[in-house]
Amino acid sequence: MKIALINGSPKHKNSASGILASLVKRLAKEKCECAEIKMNQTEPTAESVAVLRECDAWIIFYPLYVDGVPSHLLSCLKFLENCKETFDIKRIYAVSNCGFHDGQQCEWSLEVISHWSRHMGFDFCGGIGLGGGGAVPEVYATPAGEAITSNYTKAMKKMIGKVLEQKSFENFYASINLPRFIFKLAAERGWGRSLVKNGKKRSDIGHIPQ
Amino acid sequence: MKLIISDIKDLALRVIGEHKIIKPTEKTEKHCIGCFGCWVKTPGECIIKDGIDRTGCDMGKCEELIMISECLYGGFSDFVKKVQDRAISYVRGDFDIVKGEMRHRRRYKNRIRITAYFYGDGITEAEKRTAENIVRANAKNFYATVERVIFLKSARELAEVSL
Repeated sequence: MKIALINGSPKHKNSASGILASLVKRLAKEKCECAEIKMNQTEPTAESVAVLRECDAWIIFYPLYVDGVPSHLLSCLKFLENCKETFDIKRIYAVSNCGFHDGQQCEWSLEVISHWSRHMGFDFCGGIGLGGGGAVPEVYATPAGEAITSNYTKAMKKMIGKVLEQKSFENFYASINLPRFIFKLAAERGWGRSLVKNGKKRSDIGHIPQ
Repeated sequence: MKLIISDIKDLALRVIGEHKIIKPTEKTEKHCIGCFGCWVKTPGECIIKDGIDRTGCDMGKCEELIMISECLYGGFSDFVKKVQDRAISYVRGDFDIVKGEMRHRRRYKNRIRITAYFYGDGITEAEKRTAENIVRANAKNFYATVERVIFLKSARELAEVSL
Protein backbone atom coordinates (compact mmCIF):
# COMPACT_ATOMS: atom_id res chain seq x y z
CA MET A 1 0.00 0.00 0.00
CA LYS A 2 1.18 3.52 -0.79
CA ILE A 3 -0.09 6.56 1.09
CA ALA A 4 0.12 10.20 0.04
CA LEU A 5 0.79 12.56 2.94
CA ILE A 6 -0.36 15.90 1.57
CA ASN A 7 0.95 18.92 3.45
CA GLY A 8 -1.60 21.63 2.71
CA SER A 9 0.03 24.38 4.72
CA PRO A 10 1.07 27.48 2.72
CA LYS A 11 4.25 27.66 4.80
CA HIS A 12 7.44 26.48 3.16
CA LYS A 13 8.87 25.08 6.39
CA ASN A 14 8.11 24.46 10.05
CA SER A 15 4.36 24.03 9.73
CA ALA A 16 2.21 21.97 12.12
CA SER A 17 0.80 20.15 9.07
CA GLY A 18 4.31 19.18 7.92
CA ILE A 19 5.27 17.99 11.41
CA LEU A 20 2.11 15.87 11.59
CA ALA A 21 2.77 14.40 8.13
CA SER A 22 6.31 13.45 9.20
CA LEU A 23 4.95 11.94 12.42
CA VAL A 24 2.54 9.75 10.42
CA LYS A 25 5.41 8.74 8.12
CA ARG A 26 7.42 7.59 11.16
CA LEU A 27 4.43 5.76 12.67
CA ALA A 28 3.67 3.98 9.40
CA LYS A 29 7.31 3.05 8.77
CA GLU A 30 7.78 -0.52 7.51
CA LYS A 31 4.00 -0.99 7.30
CA CYS A 32 3.50 0.89 4.05
CA GLU A 33 5.17 3.24 1.62
CA CYS A 34 4.56 6.96 2.23
CA ALA A 35 5.02 9.88 -0.16
CA GLU A 36 5.14 13.39 1.31
CA ILE A 37 3.63 15.97 -1.02
CA LYS A 38 3.67 19.73 -0.49
CA MET A 39 0.68 21.73 -1.66
CA ASN A 40 1.67 25.27 -0.73
CA GLN A 41 0.79 26.94 -4.04
CA THR A 42 -2.49 27.27 -5.92
CA GLU A 43 -1.74 24.31 -8.20
CA PRO A 44 -0.06 21.00 -7.42
CA THR A 45 3.03 20.27 -9.51
CA ALA A 46 2.83 17.70 -12.33
CA GLU A 47 5.24 15.52 -10.33
CA SER A 48 2.93 15.67 -7.30
CA VAL A 49 -0.08 14.71 -9.39
CA ALA A 50 1.84 11.74 -10.83
CA VAL A 51 2.71 10.55 -7.30
CA LEU A 52 -0.90 11.05 -6.16
CA ARG A 53 -2.05 8.74 -8.96
CA GLU A 54 0.16 5.95 -7.58
CA CYS A 55 -1.20 6.19 -4.02
CA ASP A 56 -4.11 4.17 -2.62
CA ALA A 57 -5.00 6.57 0.17
CA TRP A 58 -4.47 10.30 0.57
CA ILE A 59 -4.17 12.01 3.94
CA ILE A 60 -4.66 15.76 3.66
CA PHE A 61 -3.05 17.78 6.46
CA TYR A 62 -3.97 21.46 6.61
CA PRO A 63 -4.28 24.40 8.99
CA LEU A 64 -7.75 25.78 9.69
CA TYR A 65 -8.08 29.26 8.17
CA VAL A 66 -11.24 31.27 8.96
CA ASP A 67 -13.30 28.15 9.70
CA GLY A 68 -12.30 26.50 6.45
CA VAL A 69 -9.67 25.08 4.16
CA PRO A 70 -6.92 27.61 3.19
CA SER A 71 -7.69 29.23 -0.17
CA HIS A 72 -4.59 27.95 -1.99
CA LEU A 73 -5.51 24.38 -0.99
CA LEU A 74 -9.08 24.93 -2.23
CA SER A 75 -7.55 25.97 -5.57
CA CYS A 76 -5.50 22.74 -5.59
CA LEU A 77 -8.61 20.68 -4.81
CA LYS A 78 -10.42 22.40 -7.71
CA PHE A 79 -7.47 21.65 -9.97
CA LEU A 80 -7.62 17.96 -9.02
CA GLU A 81 -11.38 17.90 -9.62
CA ASN A 82 -10.79 19.24 -13.12
CA CYS A 83 -8.71 16.14 -13.90
CA LYS A 84 -10.61 13.65 -11.73
CA GLU A 85 -11.10 11.21 -14.61
CA THR A 86 -7.36 10.50 -14.51
CA PHE A 87 -7.52 9.04 -11.00
CA ASP A 88 -8.68 5.65 -9.74
CA ILE A 89 -10.89 5.73 -6.65
CA LYS A 90 -8.91 6.82 -3.59
CA ARG A 91 -9.62 6.70 0.13
CA ILE A 92 -9.41 10.19 1.64
CA TYR A 93 -8.51 11.07 5.21
CA ALA A 94 -8.08 14.59 6.58
CA VAL A 95 -6.25 16.14 9.51
CA SER A 96 -7.06 19.76 10.26
CA ASN A 97 -5.22 21.70 12.95
CA CYS A 98 -6.37 25.01 14.36
CA GLY A 99 -4.86 27.76 16.48
CA PHE A 100 -7.66 27.52 19.02
CA HIS A 101 -7.42 25.05 21.87
CA ASP A 102 -10.57 23.21 20.83
CA GLY A 103 -10.19 21.03 17.75
CA GLN A 104 -13.98 20.93 17.32
CA GLN A 105 -13.70 24.24 15.44
CA CYS A 106 -12.28 22.24 12.50
CA GLU A 107 -15.60 20.40 12.05
CA TRP A 108 -16.99 22.33 9.05
CA SER A 109 -13.70 22.31 7.16
CA LEU A 110 -13.63 18.53 7.43
CA GLU A 111 -17.10 18.53 5.86
CA VAL A 112 -15.69 20.59 2.98
CA ILE A 113 -13.05 17.88 2.38
CA SER A 114 -15.80 15.27 2.58
CA HIS A 115 -17.90 17.11 -0.06
CA TRP A 116 -14.84 17.50 -2.30
CA SER A 117 -14.22 13.74 -2.00
CA ARG A 118 -17.75 13.11 -3.25
CA HIS A 119 -17.19 15.47 -6.20
CA MET A 120 -14.02 13.50 -7.01
CA GLY A 121 -15.87 10.16 -6.79
CA PHE A 122 -13.56 9.21 -3.89
CA ASP A 123 -14.40 7.74 -0.48
CA PHE A 124 -14.08 10.10 2.46
CA CYS A 125 -12.94 7.81 5.28
CA GLY A 126 -12.65 10.15 8.26
CA GLY A 127 -11.18 13.33 9.61
CA ILE A 128 -9.47 14.60 12.73
CA GLY A 129 -9.68 18.13 14.12
CA LEU A 130 -6.75 19.10 16.30
CA GLY A 131 -6.74 22.08 18.67
CA GLY A 132 -3.59 23.98 19.59
CA GLY A 133 -1.89 23.34 16.27
CA GLY A 134 -0.17 26.72 16.21
CA ALA A 135 1.93 25.70 19.20
CA VAL A 136 3.22 22.49 17.60
CA PRO A 137 6.16 24.00 15.65
CA GLU A 138 7.21 25.84 18.85
CA VAL A 139 7.08 22.90 21.25
CA TYR A 140 7.63 19.80 19.12
CA ALA A 141 11.43 19.81 19.25
CA THR A 142 11.61 20.77 22.96
CA PRO A 143 12.14 18.23 25.79
CA ALA A 144 8.47 18.57 26.77
CA GLY A 145 7.28 18.36 23.17
CA GLU A 146 6.48 14.67 23.20
CA ALA A 147 4.31 14.96 26.31
CA ILE A 148 2.54 18.13 25.11
CA THR A 149 1.69 16.54 21.75
CA SER A 150 0.89 13.05 23.08
CA ASN A 151 -2.81 13.46 22.21
CA TYR A 152 -1.79 14.17 18.63
CA THR A 153 0.35 11.03 18.53
CA LYS A 154 -2.58 8.95 19.83
CA ALA A 155 -4.87 10.44 17.18
CA MET A 156 -2.36 9.80 14.38
CA LYS A 157 -1.85 6.18 15.54
CA LYS A 158 -5.60 5.61 15.50
CA MET A 159 -5.85 7.06 12.01
CA ILE A 160 -2.91 5.15 10.54
CA GLY A 161 -4.41 1.91 11.92
CA LYS A 162 -7.62 2.60 10.00
CA VAL A 163 -5.72 3.62 6.87
CA LEU A 164 -3.77 0.34 6.89
CA GLU A 165 -6.95 -1.68 7.49
CA GLN A 166 -8.56 0.27 4.63
CA LYS A 167 -11.39 1.26 6.96
CA SER A 168 -13.29 4.43 7.81
CA PHE A 169 -13.80 6.18 11.11
CA GLU A 170 -16.12 8.86 12.47
CA ASN A 171 -14.54 12.32 12.61
CA PHE A 172 -13.05 13.00 16.02
CA TYR A 173 -11.29 15.83 17.80
CA ALA A 174 -8.33 16.24 20.12
CA SER A 175 -6.38 19.07 21.71
CA ILE A 176 -2.81 19.76 22.62
CA ASN A 177 -2.02 18.26 26.02
CA LEU A 178 -2.05 21.54 27.95
CA PRO A 179 -4.86 23.09 30.01
CA ARG A 180 -6.64 25.76 28.00
CA PHE A 181 -5.68 28.66 30.29
CA ILE A 182 -1.99 27.74 30.08
CA PHE A 183 -2.21 27.39 26.30
CA LYS A 184 -3.89 30.82 26.13
CA LEU A 185 -1.23 32.45 28.32
CA ALA A 186 1.62 30.81 26.41
CA ALA A 187 0.16 31.89 23.05
CA GLU A 188 -0.27 35.47 24.26
CA ARG A 189 3.31 35.61 25.53
CA GLY A 190 4.41 34.26 22.16
CA TRP A 191 2.55 37.00 20.26
CA GLY A 192 4.07 39.60 22.60
CA ARG A 193 7.60 38.30 21.98
CA SER A 194 7.03 38.31 18.21
CA LEU A 195 5.81 41.91 18.29
CA VAL A 196 8.89 43.04 20.24
CA LYS A 197 11.16 41.10 17.87
CA ASN A 198 9.59 43.07 15.02
CA GLY A 199 10.27 46.41 16.69
CA LYS A 200 6.74 46.85 18.06
CA LYS A 201 5.39 47.24 21.56
CA ARG A 202 3.41 44.41 23.15
CA SER A 203 0.41 46.77 23.29
CA ASP A 204 0.55 47.12 19.48
CA ILE A 205 -1.30 43.80 19.32
CA GLY A 206 -4.47 45.91 19.43
CA HIS A 207 -3.25 48.63 17.03
CA ILE A 208 -5.91 50.09 14.77
CA PRO A 209 -4.51 51.24 11.40
CA GLN A 210 -5.64 54.59 9.97
CA MET B 1 -20.55 51.11 4.98
CA LYS B 2 -21.32 47.86 3.17
CA LEU B 3 -18.36 45.68 2.29
CA ILE B 4 -19.07 43.32 -0.58
CA ILE B 5 -16.71 40.47 -1.36
CA SER B 6 -17.64 38.85 -4.66
CA ASP B 7 -15.94 36.24 -6.79
CA ILE B 8 -17.71 37.52 -9.93
CA LYS B 9 -15.58 39.86 -11.99
CA ASP B 10 -18.14 41.30 -14.37
CA LEU B 11 -21.52 41.28 -12.66
CA ALA B 12 -23.25 44.65 -12.26
CA LEU B 13 -24.65 44.75 -8.77
CA ARG B 14 -27.35 47.10 -7.53
CA VAL B 15 -26.05 48.39 -4.23
CA ILE B 16 -27.85 50.93 -2.07
CA GLY B 17 -25.77 53.32 0.05
CA GLU B 18 -22.07 53.67 0.75
CA HIS B 19 -20.17 50.54 -0.18
CA LYS B 20 -16.91 48.97 -1.28
CA ILE B 21 -16.70 45.96 -3.58
CA ILE B 22 -13.76 43.57 -3.55
CA LYS B 23 -13.75 41.32 -6.61
CA PRO B 24 -11.21 39.55 -8.80
CA THR B 25 -8.98 41.87 -10.83
CA GLU B 26 -6.62 41.38 -13.74
CA LYS B 27 -3.68 41.08 -11.40
CA THR B 28 -3.80 37.93 -9.34
CA GLU B 29 -4.06 38.66 -5.64
CA LYS B 30 -1.84 36.44 -3.50
CA HIS B 31 -3.08 33.83 -1.09
CA CYS B 32 -2.33 34.01 2.66
CA ILE B 33 1.10 32.56 3.45
CA GLY B 34 0.42 32.01 7.15
CA CYS B 35 3.16 34.40 8.32
CA PHE B 36 1.00 36.22 10.93
CA GLY B 37 2.70 39.47 9.86
CA CYS B 38 -0.74 41.11 10.09
CA TRP B 39 -0.63 40.42 13.84
CA VAL B 40 3.03 40.98 14.70
CA LYS B 41 4.75 43.06 11.97
CA THR B 42 2.11 45.51 10.73
CA PRO B 43 -0.73 44.86 13.20
CA GLY B 44 -4.08 45.28 11.46
CA GLU B 45 -2.77 45.08 7.88
CA CYS B 46 -1.55 42.24 5.71
CA ILE B 47 2.12 42.57 4.75
CA ILE B 48 1.46 41.52 1.12
CA LYS B 49 0.66 44.78 -0.63
CA ASP B 50 -1.52 43.81 -3.57
CA GLY B 51 -4.80 45.63 -3.08
CA ILE B 52 -6.54 43.31 -0.63
CA ASP B 53 -4.09 43.92 2.22
CA ARG B 54 -6.46 46.33 4.02
CA THR B 55 -9.57 44.15 3.97
CA GLY B 56 -9.30 43.72 7.75
CA CYS B 57 -9.42 47.55 8.09
CA ASP B 58 -12.39 47.68 5.70
CA MET B 59 -14.18 45.13 7.85
CA GLY B 60 -13.47 47.37 10.86
CA LYS B 61 -15.38 50.18 9.14
CA CYS B 62 -18.37 48.24 7.84
CA GLU B 63 -21.75 47.50 9.31
CA GLU B 64 -22.68 44.94 6.71
CA LEU B 65 -20.51 42.28 5.09
CA ILE B 66 -22.01 40.74 1.97
CA MET B 67 -20.25 37.73 0.48
CA ILE B 68 -21.16 36.54 -3.00
CA SER B 69 -19.60 33.21 -3.77
CA GLU B 70 -19.83 30.09 -5.78
CA CYS B 71 -20.67 27.32 -3.32
CA LEU B 72 -17.49 25.26 -3.54
CA TYR B 73 -17.67 21.91 -1.71
CA GLY B 74 -20.11 23.46 0.80
CA GLY B 75 -18.00 26.54 1.45
CA PHE B 76 -16.78 29.75 -0.10
CA SER B 77 -14.97 29.80 -3.44
CA ASP B 78 -11.19 30.02 -3.45
CA PHE B 79 -11.34 33.76 -4.32
CA VAL B 80 -13.70 34.74 -1.50
CA LYS B 81 -11.79 32.44 0.86
CA LYS B 82 -8.52 34.10 -0.20
CA VAL B 83 -9.89 37.52 0.73
CA GLN B 84 -11.15 36.12 4.05
CA ASP B 85 -7.80 34.47 4.81
CA ARG B 86 -5.99 37.73 4.06
CA ALA B 87 -8.32 39.65 6.43
CA ILE B 88 -7.67 37.86 9.72
CA SER B 89 -6.24 41.12 11.03
CA TYR B 90 -9.85 42.13 11.65
CA VAL B 91 -9.27 40.29 14.91
CA ARG B 92 -6.13 40.20 17.07
CA GLY B 93 -3.73 37.33 17.63
CA ASP B 94 -4.48 36.92 21.32
CA PHE B 95 -7.45 35.04 22.67
CA ASP B 96 -10.68 35.47 24.58
CA ILE B 97 -13.11 32.88 25.87
CA VAL B 98 -16.61 33.66 24.60
CA LYS B 99 -19.52 31.48 25.73
CA GLY B 100 -17.04 28.76 26.64
CA GLU B 101 -15.26 28.80 23.27
CA MET B 102 -11.87 30.20 22.39
CA ARG B 103 -11.90 33.16 19.98
CA HIS B 104 -9.38 35.71 18.81
CA ARG B 105 -9.88 39.05 20.54
CA ARG B 106 -11.66 41.83 18.73
CA ARG B 107 -9.60 44.69 17.32
CA TYR B 108 -12.60 46.82 16.36
CA LYS B 109 -15.82 47.68 18.18
CA ASN B 110 -18.17 47.52 15.19
CA ARG B 111 -20.77 44.78 15.00
CA ILE B 112 -21.02 43.35 11.50
CA ARG B 113 -24.14 41.84 9.97
CA ILE B 114 -23.24 39.08 7.53
CA THR B 115 -25.20 38.12 4.43
CA ALA B 116 -23.93 35.31 2.21
CA TYR B 117 -25.15 34.56 -1.30
CA PHE B 118 -23.98 31.15 -2.48
CA TYR B 119 -24.64 30.32 -6.11
CA GLY B 120 -24.27 27.14 -8.10
CA ASP B 121 -26.26 24.51 -9.90
CA GLY B 122 -26.64 21.25 -8.03
CA ILE B 123 -25.67 22.37 -4.52
CA THR B 124 -26.68 19.42 -2.32
CA GLU B 125 -28.64 19.79 0.91
CA ALA B 126 -25.58 18.57 2.84
CA GLU B 127 -23.43 21.25 1.17
CA LYS B 128 -26.02 23.90 2.04
CA ARG B 129 -25.93 22.83 5.70
CA THR B 130 -22.13 23.01 5.72
CA ALA B 131 -22.17 26.46 4.09
CA GLU B 132 -24.68 27.74 6.65
CA ASN B 133 -22.58 26.37 9.48
CA ILE B 134 -19.44 27.99 8.07
CA VAL B 135 -21.17 31.39 7.90
CA ARG B 136 -22.39 30.94 11.49
CA ALA B 137 -18.85 29.99 12.56
CA ASN B 138 -17.49 33.08 10.75
CA ALA B 139 -20.01 35.24 12.61
CA LYS B 140 -18.85 33.85 15.95
CA ASN B 141 -15.21 34.48 15.13
CA PHE B 142 -15.92 38.01 13.85
CA TYR B 143 -18.28 38.87 16.76
CA ALA B 144 -20.89 39.39 14.05
CA THR B 145 -24.47 38.33 13.41
CA VAL B 146 -25.83 36.37 10.46
CA GLU B 147 -28.44 38.32 8.55
CA ARG B 148 -29.17 35.79 5.80
CA VAL B 149 -27.66 32.87 3.93
CA ILE B 150 -29.17 32.59 0.45
CA PHE B 151 -28.63 29.90 -2.17
CA LEU B 152 -29.09 30.72 -5.85
CA LYS B 153 -29.00 28.39 -8.84
CA SER B 154 -27.09 30.95 -10.87
CA ALA B 155 -25.12 34.12 -10.20
CA ARG B 156 -27.36 35.80 -12.82
CA GLU B 157 -30.18 35.83 -10.26
CA LEU B 158 -28.17 38.46 -8.36
CA ALA B 159 -29.00 40.98 -11.08
CA GLU B 160 -32.53 41.13 -9.61
CA VAL B 161 -31.34 41.70 -6.05
CA SER B 162 -30.73 45.06 -4.40
CA LEU B 163 -27.89 44.76 -1.95
